[in-house]
Amino acid sequence: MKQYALFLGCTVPVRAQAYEKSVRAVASRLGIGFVDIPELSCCGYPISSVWEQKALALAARNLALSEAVGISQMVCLCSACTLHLKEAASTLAQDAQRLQEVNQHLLRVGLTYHGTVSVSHIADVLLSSDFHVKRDLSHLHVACHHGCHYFNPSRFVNMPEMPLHRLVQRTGAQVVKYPTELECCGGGSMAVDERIPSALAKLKLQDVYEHSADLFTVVCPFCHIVYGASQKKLGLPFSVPVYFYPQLLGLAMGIDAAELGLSPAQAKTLLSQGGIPA
Amino acid sequence: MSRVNETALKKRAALCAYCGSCTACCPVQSVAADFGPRAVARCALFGLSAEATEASWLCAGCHKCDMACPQDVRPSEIIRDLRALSPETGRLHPVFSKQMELLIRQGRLYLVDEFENDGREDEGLPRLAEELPDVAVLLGGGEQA
Repeated sequence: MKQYALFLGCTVPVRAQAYEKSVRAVASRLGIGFVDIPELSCCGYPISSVWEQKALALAARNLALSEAVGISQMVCLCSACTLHLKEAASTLAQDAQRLQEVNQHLLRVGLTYHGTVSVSHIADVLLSSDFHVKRDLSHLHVACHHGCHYFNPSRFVNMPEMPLHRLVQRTGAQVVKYPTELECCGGGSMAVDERIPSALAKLKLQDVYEHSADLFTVVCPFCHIVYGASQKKLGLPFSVPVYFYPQLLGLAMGIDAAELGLSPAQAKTLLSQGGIPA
Repeated sequence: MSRVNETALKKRAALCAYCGSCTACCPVQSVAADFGPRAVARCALFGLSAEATEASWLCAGCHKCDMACPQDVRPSEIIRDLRALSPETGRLHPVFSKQMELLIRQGRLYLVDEFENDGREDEGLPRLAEELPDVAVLLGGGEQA
């Protein structure tokens, strides 16, 4: 069984428990093992643009905690965590001087990092797993939102085109293509000016609605906050259900709705006609 | 001390050919007309750092501009550098000092306390450490606001 240190970050464990539950439910059936390290902290991304060195030290601490329990692969559920930890892991694996500098800081908390941990996004781990679909989701038309930090900037990330399309197709559901698909959720600007993600979400959800998608799927807790949790505040004359991809996958695999963080009504709607749950 | 200095920042901004590819693909620009990566880079080049820094806070960090730029200016890195200089120039945005404060206090942006852990346990999820004093050790020191 492949063993990964599960990196939850700040948002998932508090505001996206359905995501965490569905990831755990799906992984346990696919031979993906998670090691939970309760002391993992913020990845450092939120402060990285202002305090790059401190953010790197925070990332290194998390990587070092994984290394200390003998796990050399870390998997993230949040795309911003993925990008930041990937960037940190790559810097520290290649730049001996920066590794030494970071270790001087880590010594103060009794840790040393040796640069051996690699970081993946959960979507990539699922992409490289085999799964068997038990329930028919072919009636569902799914609009995907990849999220910027899942595959930008390209110099840190090398992946097939539109990985979420492949993942959705493998559940048996149909992918809806729409023009604004690769647009950003604006979540990165939310704390400074909430109007930016709101305006961007309106444009995108309008597009998704016009292309007759039954639902919208994401692989990042922040994207989910922008499109899902904040959708009511946008004042749109329609609503678009937003699910985390592992919830769909779990449903297709025949996993019980409650284990995926889905209400009975949501599951019933998804399994019958698609569209908006009652 | 930040690794960035203003001379290096200007050198990078000077590579800009003013083509506007970055601003054309910027999602923030599409909904907030007074923001654009090209304008930020230009302001930085001409020493208008106060204006450039103020604009930099609106960036969502999507990196689309980096990939669009034919000159490899990486506008998002100019924005990041302006932000990195801001504690020294007294231009730090309060949202970022607040986030730093939260991380020093609780190690994560959202508090995980006993109540939250009880809720996690009810959902069948493992408890997380409620106190992360290591984070304060790593983040403490003179740099924050």
